[in-house]
Amino acid sequence: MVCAAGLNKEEVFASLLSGTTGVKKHANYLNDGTLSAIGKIESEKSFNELMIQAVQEVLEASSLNNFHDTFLAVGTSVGGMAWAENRFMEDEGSLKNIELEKQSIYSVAHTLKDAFNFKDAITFSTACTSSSNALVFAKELLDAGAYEKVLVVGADSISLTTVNGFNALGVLSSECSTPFDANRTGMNVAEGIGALLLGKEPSNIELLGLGCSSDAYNITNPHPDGVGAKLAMQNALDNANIEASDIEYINAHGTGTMANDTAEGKAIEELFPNRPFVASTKSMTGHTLGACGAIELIISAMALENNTIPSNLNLKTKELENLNLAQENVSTPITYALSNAFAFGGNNTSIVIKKVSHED
Amino acid sequence: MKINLKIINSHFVTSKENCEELQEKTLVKKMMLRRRLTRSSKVAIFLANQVGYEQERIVFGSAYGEVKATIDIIDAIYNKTLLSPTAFQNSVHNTPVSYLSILSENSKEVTTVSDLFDTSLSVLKTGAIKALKGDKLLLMAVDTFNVKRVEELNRCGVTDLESGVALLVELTDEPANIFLENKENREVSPSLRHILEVHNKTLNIKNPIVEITL
Amino acid sequence: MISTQQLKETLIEGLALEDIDPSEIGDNDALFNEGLGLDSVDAIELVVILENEFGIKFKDMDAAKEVFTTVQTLTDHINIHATK
Repeated sequence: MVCAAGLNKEEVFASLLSGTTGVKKHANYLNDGTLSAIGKIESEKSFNELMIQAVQEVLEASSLNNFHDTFLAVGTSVGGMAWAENRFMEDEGSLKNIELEKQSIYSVAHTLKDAFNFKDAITFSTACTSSSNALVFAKELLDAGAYEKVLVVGADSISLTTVNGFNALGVLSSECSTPFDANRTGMNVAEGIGALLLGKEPSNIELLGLGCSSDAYNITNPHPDGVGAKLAMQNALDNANIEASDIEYINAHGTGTMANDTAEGKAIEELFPNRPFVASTKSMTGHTLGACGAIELIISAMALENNTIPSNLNLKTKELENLNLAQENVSTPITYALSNAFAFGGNNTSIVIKKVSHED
Repeated sequence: MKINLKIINSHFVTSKENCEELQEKTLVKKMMLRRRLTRSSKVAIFLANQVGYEQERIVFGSAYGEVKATIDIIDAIYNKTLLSPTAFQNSVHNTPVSYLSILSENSKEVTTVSDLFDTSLSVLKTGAIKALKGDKLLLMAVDTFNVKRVEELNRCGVTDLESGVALLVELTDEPANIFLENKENREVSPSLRHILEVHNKTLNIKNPIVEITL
Repeated sequence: MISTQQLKETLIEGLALEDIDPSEIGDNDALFNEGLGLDSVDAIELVVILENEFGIKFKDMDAAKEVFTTVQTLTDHINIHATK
């Protein structure tokens, strides 16, 4: 995992626990030159180099020698848009050098297939639920017995399109986001890479349940009462064959926008009367768009492994009183966690993971 | 692994410029929703209606996505003019099926894949795995790129700038009678060639069943 | 100086309103919610149109919404503040 908060998962988790945000103010993204708070990966390496490196690290930590029998499921919403923007600007507004293999959504899979020679690959692109939908498909592939191993990679780099686009919708903040705060001012666009190898052998963390739904409400805004979010979470619980009261920690989508956090917060309040801890890590990683599903599942897994929930950084005034929002890190044994991702057009996903204890 | 899908219904629409017969005024009665639909969205809504879609789960694919919206955005950034929020909200790859789910009040799972020239093959493979749950699925692939600077982009030399294929499918254990041969098509974007091949082969078969290999 | 008729034509084109004739929009009909039924994205689009076509900028969306009440209020505002 690589994002603004760190160059590997240990660094990222340490940043989260120390309340250190990777979101910083930049002047060179918005068209009008004003400041925006962005989560940029701090590295000399290019995004593609970091992505290949992240996948290489997963390979080395695994029992595999190569990925020749592994399926690659990618989730990305930006694809190669950042490269295309640079090209377009350099060519003074001409499209003639925009190579589809480098510009398109497919560009991520293209880069990884070149580097690692996977058996096959499919790319999911559903805005902010892209890598979550890739995770859903990965589990379906494994459950069907079609593959023994699936590598899921969520990857989105920062692009002028997304920064200016979210700004055009009036949801971009010039400050570090404060999800679930009554006075929150919006989201921070960020970049990130999350790579997870899924397989059938026993391991510490089990992908227990998946839930998907659609709001069928509005192309940009979620249903204000979180109807779709509630359905996705309930579907995940049903798929995991557990009750809402089993969930001890919810890694919320929590983007910092008025629309998402109210809708998601209400859905959680209604579905989880037992009040599990709720926290969003986007105030420290920024919103990594299509990569957030993969990245935040890794963060959730680390929270389970460490029995520690990272806090909601800078949360001062809770908008919804009944939400059990961690304002400091919480050390507590956790077995079941739920991670949410919600996207434009009302595309909702929710994933339940379980820590497998030694007695199981 | 091989999975057989029964093709309950299929439809194909294509045009060198603009698909004319999309019936958007009948299919999308609310003007305030209709006015924001992208070309791909109109094609997707039309195709879904043609194959008898009724709130099934959807697997959608588009290689190039919302080309017009993407170009409008990048032009606005280059020229330092204000960006249209409508263009941005319409620029994500799952825009067409988001509109379809809104229009049809479908709260089920909707997913979108994009693998350039293998996009429709990805739709078929994704659909095959998802069909294992036993429900009917709507599989669609749409690519539209009739935009003002298409000559700078259309390097495949295809003639049809708007095309789409939809299949209404369900899992079956009956033997397959359609096998993918990766047939080339000079007119339609290569991103649709696999799903188009399936559609074309259904035309001559009474109980079409396609074999998908994963 | 623009007329309410010209503004209605701009609205119809800029917000992609279909099957509406300018004569169907009353000068004093509400633009948002009831009346024409524009939504929050239309409000932002209007801000974009006003800046690109008339050079008018707003401090924030709240300031803009005060002006966006009816065709008449918007026409009056443009005629006072246009720089293009």
